[in-house]
Amino acid sequence: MRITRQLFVSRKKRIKFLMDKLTYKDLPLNAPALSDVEVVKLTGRPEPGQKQRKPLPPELADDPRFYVPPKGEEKKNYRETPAFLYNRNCRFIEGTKQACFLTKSVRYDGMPESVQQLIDKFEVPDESRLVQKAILKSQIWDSTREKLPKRRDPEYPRYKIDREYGIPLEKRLNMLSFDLLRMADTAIASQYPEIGRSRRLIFYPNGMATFFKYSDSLLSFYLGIDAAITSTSPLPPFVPEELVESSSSEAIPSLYPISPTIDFLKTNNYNLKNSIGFSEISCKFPHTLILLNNDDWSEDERQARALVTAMGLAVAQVKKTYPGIKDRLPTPISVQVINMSETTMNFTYFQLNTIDFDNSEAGVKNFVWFDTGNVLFERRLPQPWKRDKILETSLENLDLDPFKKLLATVGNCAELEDSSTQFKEKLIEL
Amino acid sequence: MALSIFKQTFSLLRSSSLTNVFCSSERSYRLAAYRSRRKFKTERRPFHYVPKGHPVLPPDGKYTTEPLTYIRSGGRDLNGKVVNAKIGGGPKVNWYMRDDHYPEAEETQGLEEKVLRIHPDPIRTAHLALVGTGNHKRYIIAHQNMKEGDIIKTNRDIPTISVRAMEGNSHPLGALPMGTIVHNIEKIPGEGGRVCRAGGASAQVLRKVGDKVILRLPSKHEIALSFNCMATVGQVSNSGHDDIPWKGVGEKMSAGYRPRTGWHHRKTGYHGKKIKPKRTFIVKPTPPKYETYKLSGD
Repeated sequence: MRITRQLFVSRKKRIKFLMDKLTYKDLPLNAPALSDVEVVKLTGRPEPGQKQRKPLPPELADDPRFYVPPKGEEKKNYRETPAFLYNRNCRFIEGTKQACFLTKSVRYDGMPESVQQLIDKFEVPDESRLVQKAILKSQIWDSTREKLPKRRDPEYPRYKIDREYGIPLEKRLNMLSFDLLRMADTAIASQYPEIGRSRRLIFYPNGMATFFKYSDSLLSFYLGIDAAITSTSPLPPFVPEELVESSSSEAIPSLYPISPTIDFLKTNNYNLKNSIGFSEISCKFPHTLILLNNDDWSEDERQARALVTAMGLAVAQVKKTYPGIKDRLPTPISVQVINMSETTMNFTYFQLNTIDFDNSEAGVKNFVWFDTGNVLFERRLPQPWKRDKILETSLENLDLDPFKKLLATVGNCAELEDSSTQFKEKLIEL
Repeated sequence: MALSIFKQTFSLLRSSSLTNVFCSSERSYRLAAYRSRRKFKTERRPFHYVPKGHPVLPPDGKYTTEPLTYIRSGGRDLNGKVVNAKIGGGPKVNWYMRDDHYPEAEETQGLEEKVLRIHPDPIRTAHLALVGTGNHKRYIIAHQNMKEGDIIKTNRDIPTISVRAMEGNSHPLGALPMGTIVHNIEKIPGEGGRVCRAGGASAQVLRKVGDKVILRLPSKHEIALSFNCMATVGQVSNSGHDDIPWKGVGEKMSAGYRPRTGWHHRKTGYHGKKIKPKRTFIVKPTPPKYETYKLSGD
C-alpha cells in the first residue's frame, strides 16, 4: 500500500511525507552497535541569543552589505568586572530621595541665606518689558516654521488634532534661557565691571566625567551640560563650619529594598575617565551650571539630575586638587545649578564636604538646597473641540520673581572675583 | 509583510517546524504545528487558531522593562490569507514584558521587594506593577488593593503550621491555609505562573490530600497540584472590566474587533444554556513511568 501512495503524489510532497515519517526503523542497515552509539540530546528550537552565522566566502568578506557588528566581548572596551554607567538620560525612579541617598546629603527646601540677601541687589531697567520681549521673541516672533510632533490631549485623547507647525522646543529653550542670562550679565557688570575678565560663559562644554567605588561596585559618570559659568576664584561655602560638624548627627532617609544604582546601566564595556572640562589655565573653578530640560520629566526627576551633575563635577575637581583623599575635605566645595524648562525654573545649591559615600550614617554629610516650581509664565495650548473658546496658544500670568532669583544666583560672590583688587593686594605685599 | 511571510513558508517546507509563530503556551504551539502539518491549505473556519498579534522581542533574549512594539496579525496566517475575519484594526500599543516567574529566595528569610509604580496594561486586562530590589526591576501582576510603597515577600519554605496569608506575598501551596484566595499559580514547580492571570480572576484552596493540594478554578473546575507550586495571595486587579458594556460597533472596531452577524451560523455544543453540573473530582494515583531511550541517527 505504501508504494501506491507514493506514485500519485508530487515530488515535493513525497519528500515532505518521508521526512516527517522518519523513525528509527528507517535507519540504514549498516548501523553501529549499541555499545558504539552515544546518547545525544535532541535540540529543539534554537534559543534567541545562540544563532550561528555561517562564514562568508572570501570574496564577500569585506562587503559592507554583509557586515556583522562585533559582540560586546570582542570590542576594545570590554572589561571583566562590570560597572554601572550614569548618563543624562538616567531617570531616577524615586527622585530626589534616591539622589540624596547616593550623594549622602541633607536636604533643605528653599534658598540659602547668603543667596536670599542678594535678591533685590541687582536691578535691570525696564525689567518687565525686557522679559516680555525675550518671551515673545522665542514663542511668537521667530520666523522658523517646522513640523512639530503630534499632540494628544489627556482631556480628550480620542480627538485627533491637526498637524501643527511652529518653533521647535530646542530653539525656544535656547533663545529664552540665553537671553535671560545675557540680561543678568549686564545687570551684574553695571556694579562689578571686572567680571568680564574674571568669568567665562561656555556653551555646550564636553568631556566631564568621574568614577569612584560605591559598596563593591564601580560607578562612572558622564555628565551632559548645556552651559557653564566659570570663574577665577572658587565659591565660598554657603554655611559656616560649625554646622558642618554638627551634621554628623543628622540622619538620611533610607530606601531599604532598593539600592540607589537601580537606574544605572550595567555593562562590561566602559571607559573610566576623570576630567573637569574647563581649561586649567584660567577660570578653572565652576560657579553655576545650566541645564535645559528638553524632556517631559517631572520636577522631582529634574532636580535629581541636577544634584548628580553637581556632585560629579565637584568630585572631579577634588580628585585633581587633592589626589588620594578619602574622607573629609579641608575646604568644602560649592556648586550652583539652574534647571530651565519652557515655563519653569528650578535652582539647586550643593556643598561637598566628604567623599565617603559608602557610610550613609556615620561621618560628616553634604548639604543640598532645592528651590522648585518657579513659574515664569503659563502656556495654554489650543483645544479645537471647544469651539470659539480656545483656538490659539495663549501666554498668561507673567511672574518676575524667578528672574530675580536668577540674578541673585548668577551674581553670587561677584565682589570676590574683582581681579583688580587681587592684583592690588599682591602689589601691596611686595 | 508579504516578503516575510514568503520566507516563513519557505523555511517551513525545509524544516518541519513552525519557528516564527508566537504562542502563549506550549500546548497551543503544538496544536498550531500539528494543524499546519495536517493541511497545506488553510481555510476560513472557526477552529483555525491565529493569535491577535506578537511582540518584537529583543535579540539578546534578556529581560527589559522598556516598552516594545506589538505587531497585529489582522487575522492573517503565515500564508498571508485571512483565516479569522473577526480580527482587524486597533490602536498602536506598547507591549511590556511581564515576569510571571517566581524569583529564588533565601531560606527562612525570603526576598523583599518594593512597589514603585502601578499603571494599566494596554493589551491585557490586569494592571501592571513595577517592582524592584537591589539593582533589578521587573513588572508583575498587580493585585486588587495594591498601593505604591508596599513591600512584597516571596518565601519558598513549607512549614508544618500554615502561614498567615497577607495580600501580595507569595508562598508555595503547601504552606497556605485552607480557604485562601490565590492567583498566578504554577502548574509545574519552577515553570512560572500560568493560571488566573486575567483581570479579576482568583482561585480558592479547598483541601489537602496526601502530597497534593486541591484548588477551585474560576471555571468551577477542581485541580490537584503539588505542594511546591508557587502562588501569590489575593485577587487580580481590575475586576470590573467585564461589567462595562460596549457602546456600539464603533467602539469595538476602534479596539480591534471586526463585526459579525448571528444569523445563519452553525451552532455547536458551546451555544445554549448549561444545565449539566460539573464532574466530581477524584484524585487518582499516578501511574509508574517507564524509562525511554532516544537514539540519534545519521
